[in-house]
Amino acid sequence: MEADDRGQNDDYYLELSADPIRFESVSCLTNVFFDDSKQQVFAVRSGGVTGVLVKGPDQNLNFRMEDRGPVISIKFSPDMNVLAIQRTNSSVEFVNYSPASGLDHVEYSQPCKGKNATILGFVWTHGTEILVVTDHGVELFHVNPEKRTIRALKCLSLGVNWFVFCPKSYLVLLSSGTVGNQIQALHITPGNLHKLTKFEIEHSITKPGKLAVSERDVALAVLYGTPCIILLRHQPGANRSMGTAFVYIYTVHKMMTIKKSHMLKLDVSGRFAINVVDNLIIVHHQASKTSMIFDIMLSGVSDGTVMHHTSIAMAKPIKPFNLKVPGTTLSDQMYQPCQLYSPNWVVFQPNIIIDVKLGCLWYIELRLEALVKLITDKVLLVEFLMQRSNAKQILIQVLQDFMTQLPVSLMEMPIIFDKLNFVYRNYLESEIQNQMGTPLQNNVKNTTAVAENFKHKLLLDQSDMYSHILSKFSENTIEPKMIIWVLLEYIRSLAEHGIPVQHYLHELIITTLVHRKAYYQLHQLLQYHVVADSKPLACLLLSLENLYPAAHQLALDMLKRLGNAHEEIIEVLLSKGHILAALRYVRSVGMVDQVSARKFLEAAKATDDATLFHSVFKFFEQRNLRLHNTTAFTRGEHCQPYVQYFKYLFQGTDNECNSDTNSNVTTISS
Amino acid sequence: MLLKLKLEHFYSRYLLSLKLNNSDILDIFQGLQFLPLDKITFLKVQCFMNLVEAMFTQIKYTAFLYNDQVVWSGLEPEDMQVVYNYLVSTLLPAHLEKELHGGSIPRNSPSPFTTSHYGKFVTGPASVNEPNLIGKSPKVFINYSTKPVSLYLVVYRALSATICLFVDKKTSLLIDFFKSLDSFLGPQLTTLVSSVAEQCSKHVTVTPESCTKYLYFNKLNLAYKSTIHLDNRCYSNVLTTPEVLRIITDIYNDRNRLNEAGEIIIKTISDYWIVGKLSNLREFFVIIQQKSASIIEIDDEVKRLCEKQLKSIFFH
Repeated sequence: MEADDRGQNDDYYLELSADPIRFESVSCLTNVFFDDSKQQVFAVRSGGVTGVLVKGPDQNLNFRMEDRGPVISIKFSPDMNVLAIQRTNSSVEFVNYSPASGLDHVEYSQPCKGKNATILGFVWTHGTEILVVTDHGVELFHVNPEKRTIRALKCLSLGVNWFVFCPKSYLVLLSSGTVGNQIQALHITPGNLHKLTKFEIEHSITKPGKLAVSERDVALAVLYGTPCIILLRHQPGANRSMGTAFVYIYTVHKMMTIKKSHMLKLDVSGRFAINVVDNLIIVHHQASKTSMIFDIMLSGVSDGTVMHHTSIAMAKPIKPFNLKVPGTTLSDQMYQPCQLYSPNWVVFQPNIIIDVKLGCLWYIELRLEALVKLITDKVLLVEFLMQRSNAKQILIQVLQDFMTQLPVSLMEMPIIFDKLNFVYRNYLESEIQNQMGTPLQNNVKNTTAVAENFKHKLLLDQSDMYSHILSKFSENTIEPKMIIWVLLEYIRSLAEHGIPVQHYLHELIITTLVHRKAYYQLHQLLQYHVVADSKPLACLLLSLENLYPAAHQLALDMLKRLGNAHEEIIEVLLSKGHILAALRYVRSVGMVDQVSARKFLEAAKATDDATLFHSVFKFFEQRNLRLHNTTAFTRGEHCQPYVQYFKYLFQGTDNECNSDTNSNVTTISS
Repeated sequence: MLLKLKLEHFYSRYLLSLKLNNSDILDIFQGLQFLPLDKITFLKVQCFMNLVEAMFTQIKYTAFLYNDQVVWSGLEPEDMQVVYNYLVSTLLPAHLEKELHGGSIPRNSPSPFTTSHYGKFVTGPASVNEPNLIGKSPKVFINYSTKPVSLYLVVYRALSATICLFVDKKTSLLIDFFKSLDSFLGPQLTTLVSSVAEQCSKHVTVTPESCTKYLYFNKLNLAYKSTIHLDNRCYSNVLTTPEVLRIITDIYNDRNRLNEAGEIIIKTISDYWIVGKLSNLREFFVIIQQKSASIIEIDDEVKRLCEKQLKSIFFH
């Protein structure tokens, strides 16, 4: 079976977690409850007398409790020290719990305040605070396990049809109104309730006794850091089978206002269920046994207020799952295929699927490798991957593949690089902000909001690009000129985003150009200062002189622009035998008094040009005269050999020759 | 027979196209004028030309000019030198002439409502909508000194930008090729040109009408810059006397005496000072007309000018 899964049709982009949490299935003796806050499954046997099994992602508990009637709901407090059990419509009981001593024997409770009120459910919020929702409103209590007392904190009166709670955002959604078209959202903070703006959902005339919006069509989630209300709407068509369904996303801003901001087109009708994985909305469609994926962060079509999105890839079923079951003998194990999209499935937020009959709890997971193959638009694909967590390797792989499609893929490269560098730029900006310390008070909100948006974007900086892509071109598959195209395109994008280009990219482009013997192209890049000036680069250029004579000129220009490379410039000029030019340079930068006379005299001597040697010698004699009031060199300058050489050359020569060389000295001092 | 034809062409047409009477130092340089441009805009141009090469594999080399100034050349300087000269002194003036006489220019888009662009072919079809007027694209020989390759030169122009496409000889230049080129180049080039134009307007520093003029030439990349010549098409349009131009040419011929660096200063009877300066393989000529100036004042003026115009290069 396993081998078959890896066959040709392995393009499922969703799968169930490999190792489901198993629990006893529902039977006449066993009741199963699920707490989506703590993601724990409770299997209660015979009202608890024969045992309660609790299984969660990191728990596996087993205890007994007294049977005081059938359980309606059961949930542990966030830190597991109190167990809340609801057995009647009017009260919730509490029992203390500790891992060491197990369940306490004393139950304590507080009936809800409203008389004749029916409890719809309860949720643990902060610490040992518990929110009880009744058809008459909500009540917030504080439970004190030490004293076994309960204290009412806050309450709110409101006719409630049903409620939904999001443990991530602490948002409670209450359906109210006789037709159930009014939605009141509450934000629960420690010890308090905050009302958000109420909103209405447009509804067609519903049958009496049926609500405009039912609980199963609503999901609360946090998408890209923003709390969202995900609402399924069935658009009745001419006949039932023709109608299509939509999903509306309402975003909650600063826990104050709620705005309808996105709409997802489903194009089918029937029963749906919603999950959220990695900020993606997954809509399961039972009739077709397929699922669709939507990303609200990708651009859609705006109608002015609401952004309309379509599924980012065609609808596909979840990857078939085989459940490990005991075989005929104890050591034997069999794999049994599971029915997907089964009527026994119950879906919980954000990413939980429970099959109550099989007794399995799965997490739904993305298979990005498969999804990547289904998104043909490269720009969209990159944007999509940049919004996934842990997709860096896949994104790099996608970009690497992209490079093998040159030259055609160069068309989309500018946009892709711009998208990567837009995020990179924002990352660098927030880095700087962090280093600068707290910004001014009035700026705080703006910058954190922006930073919040970029938190969900994948960063691929120039060192990643360099080490995984730009330096990894294989000469056999890609022409060197195409490598240059890509490098320049990337540098262009960095420059347009104001990101300083690192030296290794400059070095790479220069060596690639040199390798291709595209010296004139390199010349033009330097002419327009595409490559940043630096001493190492100037040295690289100097070394290229034999291959491209103009490199020497470019190197000197670069050293001059650096402004702090006097020594290097003098060395370069001397090595070329341009001694007068070097002296002229020394004078123009006011370094006459600092340079080593010996170095110049040595270079002048090496030219075998007596006149030149004379000029240089006299130049330094004049310096000596100015500095020490004598033409003689100091001992520390080690110029004795050159004094000897001067004597050797000019001792005994007549005055005519002397005046001739003297005029030369005046030329250079003019 | 072939030789006869070639000689016929040379004597009757080419030789006459050389206006020897108007020739001056620029004809000796045979240089290129480069457009001063910021890094980002240059990269945009360069990347666009790369994209053109990537999308049309028949295109072997490209070049981009703006207002007759080179921004980017994929050809080696020796080849560009010839192509540039042909473009600036023959092809483009003739094209502009034709346009001026043609009155209103027919736009490429058939309807005023479709997005229009300003691109059209200088060599090749006059309009992509009239396949019978496909025109002729000149043949050029590239890499003359090493490995001569024959290529078609297709020139396309949008607003003030001219792009040269050197197309593989094997390509059949059919109207479909031009059509696809036009639809690719036209819109993108139009936006690119406007950003070049925007940057250029920032770079233009209004130089006050000064009596100091200069001429710069770098033989390594063939770049020249002149404030003596008003525009590069009409060499007779100079802001100085023939005498001065002659002296510049003489200094240029004498530069061998300067070794690697040096300076020659000449004063004429009509109070012109002509300074020729050579450094780091570049030549710089300064013309100053000033009565009763001393050599020190002239030297200071030259220094000031170098500081201002040549500050980003090594020139001492």
